[in-house]
Amino acid sequence: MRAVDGDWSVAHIRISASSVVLVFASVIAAVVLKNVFVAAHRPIGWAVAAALLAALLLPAVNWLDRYLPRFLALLMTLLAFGLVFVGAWVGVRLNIGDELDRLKHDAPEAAGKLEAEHSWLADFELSRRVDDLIAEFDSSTSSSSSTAEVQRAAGAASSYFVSGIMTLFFMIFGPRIIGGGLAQLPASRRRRWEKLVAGAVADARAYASVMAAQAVVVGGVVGLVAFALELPAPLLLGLIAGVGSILPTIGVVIGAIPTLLFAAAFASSRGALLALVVVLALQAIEVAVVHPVVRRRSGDVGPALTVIVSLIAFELYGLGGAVYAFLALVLVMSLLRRLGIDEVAENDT
Amino acid sequence: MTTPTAERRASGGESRGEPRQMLLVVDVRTSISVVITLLAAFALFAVARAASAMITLVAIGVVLALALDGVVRHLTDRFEMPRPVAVVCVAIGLFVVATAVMLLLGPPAIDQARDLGSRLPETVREFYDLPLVGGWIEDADLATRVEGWIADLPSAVSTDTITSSAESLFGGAVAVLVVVATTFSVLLDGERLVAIARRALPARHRNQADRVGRVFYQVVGRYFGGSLTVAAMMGIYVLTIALVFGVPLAPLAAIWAMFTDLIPQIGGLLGGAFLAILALAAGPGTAIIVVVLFVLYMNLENHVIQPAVVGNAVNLSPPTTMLAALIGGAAAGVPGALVATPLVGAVKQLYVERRHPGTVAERTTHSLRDRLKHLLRRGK
Repeated sequence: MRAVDGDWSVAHIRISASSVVLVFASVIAAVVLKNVFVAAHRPIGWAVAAALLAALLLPAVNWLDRYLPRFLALLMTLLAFGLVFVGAWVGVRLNIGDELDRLKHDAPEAAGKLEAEHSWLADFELSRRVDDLIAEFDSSTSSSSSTAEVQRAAGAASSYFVSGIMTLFFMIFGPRIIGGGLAQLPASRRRRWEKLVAGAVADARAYASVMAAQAVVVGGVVGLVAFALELPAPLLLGLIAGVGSILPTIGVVIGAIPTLLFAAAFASSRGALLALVVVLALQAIEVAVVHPVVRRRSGDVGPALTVIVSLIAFELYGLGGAVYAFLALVLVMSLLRRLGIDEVAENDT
Repeated sequence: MTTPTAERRASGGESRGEPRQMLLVVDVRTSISVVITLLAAFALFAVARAASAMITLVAIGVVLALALDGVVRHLTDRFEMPRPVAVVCVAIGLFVVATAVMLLLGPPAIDQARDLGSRLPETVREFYDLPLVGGWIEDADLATRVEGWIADLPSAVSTDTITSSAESLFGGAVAVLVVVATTFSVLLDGERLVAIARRALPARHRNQADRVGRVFYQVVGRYFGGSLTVAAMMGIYVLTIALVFGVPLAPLAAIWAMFTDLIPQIGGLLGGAFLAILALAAGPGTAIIVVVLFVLYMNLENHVIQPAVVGNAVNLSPPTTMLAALIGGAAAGVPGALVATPLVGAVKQLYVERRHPGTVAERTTHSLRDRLKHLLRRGK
């Protein structure tokens, strides 16, 4: 080829054989890895969840280690966490079951009363339809479908068992794995990154612990109020309020919306007002007292990222996914906050 | 794929005009970067596909936050209140408005729905007197058929229909809660997140990022804020004329007109068509009056209200707006149709500013009085 006139010049570019091979290998490796991740996204998810849980529970293990052999401390911590989790799950299931039984008993009577008051509901055959709905619900939970229920429960139990074993392994080997990873860094950067990671993990742990304690308090108070007002499923309402309270600044109110709606529908106006006052007071305490303390100690995750990340994780992996995604977000934000403090001067020069 | 190293091989006796020869060598670190980048892209794509419904709701929440940010800023600037307090005030205000709308419109809507069943056959009988089509309607005995259809309606509703309707209602309530939570979270936290993202960028890119962010904020925020205001005005107008002229299901017609008013170009037609069909149930004369009043208001909105409130936030020609809405709707449904126009407008403004820096005029709005004066002057 000849050079042309003007600003353009011609260059012959030859790509080395090794580069061609490397390019193709990279693309193939990316596709293969992607297929592996897609096929194994559940065990990978379990591993991530187990690592986060291990990081959260390790201080409790270290504290128990002072009084017990390490292995016992590990087992007892994991067992205690498992008991709390199973207790909450069983409690909620029983609560929902009781409320459903109550509904099945009261609904036909209420339908009959409504038909007597409104002729258009009698034309609509409300009582018959309610009876049909209850019969359909009962048949869906009958022995023929309980096999599927047992299979689902067995699958869930095996997932939790494997996750529990992984959590134990991460609690035992986790610090060594992290230490080994940091050891790959050049000595000049290792010390700084060790401080960063340790600080970020401590910040995240403190943040998550305070949020968990707050969730328990808020859930307990709202659940008690729901119980006092004789609202349906008070344990579930308390759980929803507790989980919602994890959201900074507005979470207590958002989580208590079902309670407030139920109070407006089923309780007296005084009872509904009491529920509203209690929820607003809890939110005010969170904004004025808890959040500033947490922010000073561990930084601020903020409501926007918490909402967005938790919602997308909930859509992908359910409630467990949302909780673990929140923990991962707290860890990442803690790390970024520590990096931001150290590196903002570098970026600005 | 660029290479960190390249060897230039000069051919023997290279003279001016002879092509250079270069050997590209890709190193291992580059290929690892490529693998990681591809994996990250796959992961993002998979998450977007698996959680598309939730991402859509979150996006709606973010857009609403952009639209409401103007109100929050006005409160913080005018009354010097902290931002969280201003957000709470906006939240309380919206809650009060929503509750008032539900309490005022809910019971009449239910009553009108019940009355519709008894009024509809009589209204259909009135159509027997219409020219041209009246005879055909009478021959088909449409009034009796409508009576029979209304009588059979309760038995046509099955248990499955009730269950799926209840599920839809519950899903809708959850969606509203998600949008509300996202909107107010972003309003509270948006500025801080933008500052964090800005700090994460290298210093040499920050000015450009600021420019891009400012354009998107101004175009999208102003467009949606103004559009929501104009849509609310349309809803109030439709509700008023529907109630005055006894159009059945007036609250439903108002809500439909309000939502369709957000869709560019064709929204007015959709809103007006539904109103006209409902107005027919009140009589053909009423339908004609209501349609005329609706068309008059549409023109007022297009030439006076919209330019005054939304202004030239988007600055696109009508065919471009329509095409953007159609493509956005085909790609992502109603949310896609709604965001396509401001997105295209923002991209256009960025392009113009990049090609001709400093030539884009400040976005202005004209007051309602100026727009009216301009219209009347033009008419003379």
